[in-house]
Amino acid sequence: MNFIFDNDRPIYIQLVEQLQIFIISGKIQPGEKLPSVRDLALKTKVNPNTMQKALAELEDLKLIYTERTNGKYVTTDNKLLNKFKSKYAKEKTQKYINEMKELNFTKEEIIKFLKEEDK
Amino acid sequence: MLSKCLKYDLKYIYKVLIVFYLIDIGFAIITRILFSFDNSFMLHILALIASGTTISFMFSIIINNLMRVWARFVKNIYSDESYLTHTLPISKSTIYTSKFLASIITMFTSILVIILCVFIAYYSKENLEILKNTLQFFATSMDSTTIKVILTAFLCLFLEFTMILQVGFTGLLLGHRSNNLKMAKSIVYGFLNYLFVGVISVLIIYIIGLFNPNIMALFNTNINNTLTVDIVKIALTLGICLYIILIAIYYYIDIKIFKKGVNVE
Amino acid sequence: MELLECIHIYKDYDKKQVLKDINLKIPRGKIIGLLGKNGMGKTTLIKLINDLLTPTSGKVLVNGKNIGNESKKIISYLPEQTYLDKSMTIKQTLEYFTDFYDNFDIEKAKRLIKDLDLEIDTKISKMSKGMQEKLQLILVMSRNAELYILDEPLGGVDPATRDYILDTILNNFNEDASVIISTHLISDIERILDEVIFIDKGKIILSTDADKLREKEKGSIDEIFRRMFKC
Repeated sequence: MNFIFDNDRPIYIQLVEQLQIFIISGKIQPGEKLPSVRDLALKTKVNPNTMQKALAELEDLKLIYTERTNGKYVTTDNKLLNKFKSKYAKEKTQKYINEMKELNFTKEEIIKFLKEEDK
Repeated sequence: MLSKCLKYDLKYIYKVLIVFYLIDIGFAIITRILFSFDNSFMLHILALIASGTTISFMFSIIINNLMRVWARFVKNIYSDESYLTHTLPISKSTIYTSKFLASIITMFTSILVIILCVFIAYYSKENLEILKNTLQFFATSMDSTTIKVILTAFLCLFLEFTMILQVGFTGLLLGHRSNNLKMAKSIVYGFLNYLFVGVISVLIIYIIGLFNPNIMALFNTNINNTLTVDIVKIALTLGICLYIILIAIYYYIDIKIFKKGVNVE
Repeated sequence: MELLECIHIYKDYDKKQVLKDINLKIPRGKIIGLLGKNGMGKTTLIKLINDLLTPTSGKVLVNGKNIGNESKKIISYLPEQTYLDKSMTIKQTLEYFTDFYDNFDIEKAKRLIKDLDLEIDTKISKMSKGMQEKLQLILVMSRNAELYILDEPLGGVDPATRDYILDTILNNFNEDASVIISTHLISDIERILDEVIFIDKGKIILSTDADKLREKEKGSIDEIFRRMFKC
């Protein structure tokens, strides 16, 4: 897990975003146990309080859950994971399309580019 | 906590002082050995040199002792190291008391070592006889015993050095309350305090003399007026008591000043 | 009761006012950045909290009590100076800390010293300045204190050392404790801060949550700081 931050935005929001990507991409597997807050904080070199806040946010999104004394686990709810996946895919695609449109490409051209690049 | 502080203070002072002790004892032994060959002129010269060195090292011991005690005080309380000293969970009075005790203890051992060196270098039946006679002379003229004379001399020496050490501390404490020229001011304050002790001692004895004509005789320079043994004795006792009281007062005042806090740069 | 509270603190040197009416409350369990340019009063404030200076007026309270033995037991302070007796070895220094601090974790210190490949019998004076500073950080962080106060821990160090220092701080402060880090190198450290305090010309200009400030002012703490003080 590699984390890159820019200092311009709240650190905990960036943590939430990056952990989300790790979870939906399967870098952290469904059902996998997360390291402790402290270890995660150390790994990412952030303040444990900030990490705690980010994990709380992920828990609100139901992407992770706390098993009483054992620690935090990634959800096994595939439906939910897929939902986040497609939401993320949508965002990314939208962003790409918008940028291309700004450069005055047509829909057909964009599709052509995509097909050509993905070989 | 006092014993722990004292442990480190003593360690610091003795680390160098012990070397001086050993060198002086060494030269004392060399002096003795060289003097024991009394048939060679060259050896005699060497013996005299060794003897001179032994004696000069006795002074070095005292000076090094004083300097080391003060250096420890400044380093520990006002230099970079003070950032640790003042953040240890120890009270200011403990810190001061430890420095004070360390200075007394080291001064005591230094004087003992010096006496030891004198004995090593110069002990002989004849010399002991001379010493005995001299002491006996003092003792009889003072209407006392030799043991008492020795103890009094030792006590006077010891109190004098303790007082010097203490006014040194006071000077450092006062000098470092200022925002500039701290060291120069410390030295000046130290000297002023030492002068003050001298003046106040004489003054107090004089004031007592106003009520006691026997003591007033001390100040009477009329040649016809010979000092009696009793007066000298009283004056000496008075002086010793006065010094002990002054040392106690200085100790108390120093802690008061120290407790007001420091301003470390 | 606040862990640390400064009430109306003023400090003058001769006629120069270095601190003007400092009021501050430091809660438990936070990492707080005391941020300001050099010579704006950061170190003076920290020295007041550590009994190295006496305030001209005002009060410093630690757990509701005046500065004294009790406060010194729970505050672990890293000054900019190297404060160790350089004639001692590392081992003797560890003994010194064990002698005077009940909450000094000597095993932890030994472990961290070993990580640096330092021999325990090395004399402090034989170590480089950088190593002395690292050793000092280890000693400070090996105390189970309630408040760690680190004055310019990143002043003039290379990036590798900077990472080492930040790691050592994050690894070793205990969870209920607070850490105050004073620095003028904000970008290096802002990621680990919960709260920031801006100090300028002897006054506290701002004291707030770090992420909230980023959100509100739309920028990094470093940028916001530069904008405010135009440096």
